[in-house]
Formats: sequence, structure tokens, C-alpha cells
Amino acid sequence: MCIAKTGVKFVHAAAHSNYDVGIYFEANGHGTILFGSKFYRLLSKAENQLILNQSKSLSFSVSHENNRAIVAFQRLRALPSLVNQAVGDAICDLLLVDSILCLQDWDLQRWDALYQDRPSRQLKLTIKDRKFLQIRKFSYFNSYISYLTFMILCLH
Amino acid sequence: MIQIPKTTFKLLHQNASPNQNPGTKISFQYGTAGFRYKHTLLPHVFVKMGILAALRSYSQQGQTVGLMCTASHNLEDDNGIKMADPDGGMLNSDIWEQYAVSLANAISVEDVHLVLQEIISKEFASIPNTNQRFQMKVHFGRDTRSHSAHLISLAIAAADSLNDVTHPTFRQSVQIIDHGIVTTPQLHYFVMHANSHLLPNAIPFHYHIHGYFDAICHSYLSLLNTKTTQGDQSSLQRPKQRIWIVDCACGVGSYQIQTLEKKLNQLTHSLAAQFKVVNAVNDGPLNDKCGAEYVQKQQKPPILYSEGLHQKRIITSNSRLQSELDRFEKISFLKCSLDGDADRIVFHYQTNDSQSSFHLLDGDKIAVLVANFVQKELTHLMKVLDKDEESDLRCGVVQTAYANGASTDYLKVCFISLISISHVMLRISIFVFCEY
Repeated sequence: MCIAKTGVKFVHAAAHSNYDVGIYFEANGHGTILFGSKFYRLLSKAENQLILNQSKSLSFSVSHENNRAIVAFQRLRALPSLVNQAVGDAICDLLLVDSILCLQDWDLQRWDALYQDRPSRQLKLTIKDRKFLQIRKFSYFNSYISYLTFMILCLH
Repeated sequence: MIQIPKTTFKLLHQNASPNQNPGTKISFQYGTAGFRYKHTLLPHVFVKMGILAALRSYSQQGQTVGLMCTASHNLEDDNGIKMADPDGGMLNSDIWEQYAVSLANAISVEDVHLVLQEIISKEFASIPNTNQRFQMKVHFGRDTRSHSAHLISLAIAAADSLNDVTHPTFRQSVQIIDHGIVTTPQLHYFVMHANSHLLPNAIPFHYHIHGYFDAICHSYLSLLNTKTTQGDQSSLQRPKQRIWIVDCACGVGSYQIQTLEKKLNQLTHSLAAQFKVVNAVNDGPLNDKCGAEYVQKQQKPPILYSEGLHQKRIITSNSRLQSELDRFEKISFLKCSLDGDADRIVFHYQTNDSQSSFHLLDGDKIAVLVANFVQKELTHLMKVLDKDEESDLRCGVVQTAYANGASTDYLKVCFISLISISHVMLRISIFVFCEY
């Protein structure tokens, strides 16, 4: 996991350059999965090996493992063309979420129970001219985080 | 020197910059979302971006670029335009963003001419004066705003006018593909697949709406197909029918969800969910008290503008009735909200226990769900594979500082790949963060 500068361009780039399978979703619901060439090579290698394994006579537990691996292979193979790898896409993401929930027999409550959100609030402020904004910036790793204390003061 | 055709000049004259009015001084900026302003300020920007997109395509050796007309989750009155680069991503060049800004802020037609000459001399000086010529290719798309059709037609006309350029090396044709009303991600998808040589995963000839729905529907069904082969215990019972109530923010998503529903119906699959649109185009005001932006920022359910719909009765009826339906009819209703140009989605549900009955599943929850799934499947696959360099796959999640700290903690504990994390978030208990 890494934390990127906000703005979809930077997040997308970070997912692309750091990972062979890079998952990103911004809190606002925009995101996708990116697959690198190594992932596709792994799939073709896996296909050959799974076929080979099937032709061998295997013990029950090993063949069970192999069957599960075949399912995993079929699932992973479907993902790259299910998601929109250009940018986040609500329609593709809806199908992705629906199929993951369906495969696990989960409903929204079960999914929600994975962790509990910390309280947070997002506000949008309109300002006359953004040039008036003076922002103290500091960067930490590749993150780009700014505090805006005076804005909070404005709120009160 | 390349002469700008008369037709181009005419378009520029007809769509003058608002800064030509004395007393008006708007500084146009190209942000992550491209240019986004009140629609009345934008006609001249569309003309200029039409020209710029064609030039961008030429500078990329004739690869396809895209222009999308939308102001995403903003209200109806705003509009915007952004360029998609050949890889389907956002315009990825600071220099070209600067060109766009210079053009948008050029006041008179003469100023525009000067900027264009500068771009041409900088970008095309290096292109050899040979017989090698590139066709410029630009894909266009727009959302459902009432002014989008007119605005995008200006960009199309401007790109088209470059066909009249008479110059020995720059005598090229411009290929224009107008996709009409599409979602923003669809337009990006078309551009990406039109340059199919660029990516390992692109599907050639899928740069249109049918290709898009073919690809995603078939992948969706093949993913669902793995459920029966796995022999889940629950598959002994008949699985519940899932009905998604999709809040489309009164925007373009409603057309595309309806197309999706039609396509899936044709393919008939027992496990496929059904998708019902609420807040379709013209049901109510775009993005106003509905859609992903509203639901996520306000943490409230969307207003349902759609009248007389069967599903409205079901949604608004009390949750008790719904849970009874759940139990007896083996149907589960699931709700989600798209934004105005369908590039974002959040999920939500309501429980009938008093005040805090609204629950939001935002992008962080989606990331965790997807990461969980991908990791589990990869682990199962890796078990039977020989270990070598290929199986050393880098798999991970990227979050922004907006991410809810709880999701970051979850991913840190449960997810394999950790590259770096900002410790700032961990030391401070209340975190104020601002994007500008």
C-alpha cells in the first residue's frame, strides 16, 4: 500500500508504476484495478501448469487444491476485461462489486462489517479567488498534504 | 508558417472569449478535471480544445486522443472539457496543459493565432519533412447536460476545420469519431482501445459502445460462472435474486445502466443481478441532492425523483416490508449511487434502527473488498504454481490522504504488499486535510 498525492492522475500513475496488480479507489468512489504485463504472463504460465497438473494423478488433497486454483485462475482471468483500466468506471465497478459479493454470498451489511469507518466530514467551501489561498505545504514520502487552519477559523 | 484556415478563424470569431468584454477578467485554469466553468463561459474554450486535441494527436504520431464534455458531479449549470491521452488516461503532459491554458486565456483571435504558431513551431519542428504523414484522430463524447450537445459540436467543428490546412508537411486529414452521449470512463475506454498497440490488455476494435458492453458483460458472467464450479455450500440452495437500485444522479449513467440491463437480459444467466434505474435523465435536476457526490459528502440517502416507478414503492416502503420480501421472495435489494458522468460509485443501505440508520460504503470500502478478493484468489493460485520470478507478483493498494484511517489500518493488517505509508496520519488523532 502506498499513499499518493490526491488527484486521480497521480493515484493512477502510482498504481501503475508500483504494482503488477494495482488497486486504487479514492474515498469518493472513483477507482479501478490496473494489471501490468507481468500479471498476464503469470496467467499464461498458470494455465499451462494447471493443465499439466490435471493430467497427473494427484492425491485427494492436492487435487482439491488444484481445483480451487483453477477457479482462482478463471476468476483472475476475468478481471482485466471486467474493469475499465483507463479510468475508474462506475458501471464496471458495480459489476465487479456485485460479482464479488455474489461469489462470497455477502450482502452490503456483511461487506460493511469488514471494518468500521472513523468519523469524518467533508466540506466544500467556495472562495472568491483561489489566489488568496495561502497554504502551508509539506511533503512526506510522495504524499502531498496541506493544513488549512485559517479555513477552519473562517468556519467558526 | 502554417496558415490557420478561414473556417477555423470564423469559429474563433463567432465564439469570442468572454474576456473581450471590458471589465471581465477570467483566468481559465486546466485542473485534474480539465476546464470546468459556467457553461456560458465555455464556447471559445471548446473551439480551442478542438484544435488542440487534433494537434495533440498529430504530435503523438497520429495516435487517437479524446475530448469529453462534462462537468461530472457539478450541477447542471456548469460544464467542462478535458482531454484524454492515447493511453486512455488524463492528458499527461505539463507542457500541453500549459498550451491549453495559454489558448483558453488568449483573448483576441490574433492572440490565439500566435499561441497556435508557437505550439506548432515547438512541437512539429522535429517532425521530419518527409512523406510520412499522420492522420489526426480525435474521439468525442458528452454527457446529458442541455448545453453539452452545442458545446461539443464547436469542438468537433474546430477539429474538422483543420482539414482545410494547406501546407506541404501539415496537409493531413482529421478523423473525427463522435460517440454522442457516453459516460466519461467510456470515452477514455474507447480512446485506450483505439490505440490497442499501446497496452497488453487492450482489445482491438473495441473502441465503441458495443465492444465495451460485450467485454464487460462477458467478463461479468464468466466471473459469476465460477460460483457453481467452486461448489460453495450455499449453492445447494437457490441463490437469492439480486436487484440493484441504481441512483444515476439524473445523468448519463441512466442510459448506460439501461443498456447494460438489456444486454444482460439477452445473455440470460441465472446468477446475473438485475439493475433498475432511479433518478434517470429528466427525472430531476442533475446531481442535485442525488448521486454519488451528494450521498458521499452529505452521508445521506439520495432523493428519489423518479415517479410512478415500481421500485420506488419498494425503496420507500419501510424496511420491515423489505426484509420480509428478502426472506420470502428470495430477493435482495441493493442500492448504489453513480455521479453525473458515471465515473464514481458509492454503495449504501439503511437499517431501521433509529437515527444512524444510513450506512455508506465509500471508495475505501470498495478498495478493501476488491483487495481482499484479489488477494484470496491470488493466494489460491500461487499454491499450486512453481515458485520462480514470474510468481513474484507485486500486488497492492494505492490510497490518497482522503482515505478513512480505519481502511488504512485494515489494509495494513490484512494485505500483503506494503510499500510506504505516511506516518503523519498515524501520529495525529484528528486530521484536517484540504485539496485546492
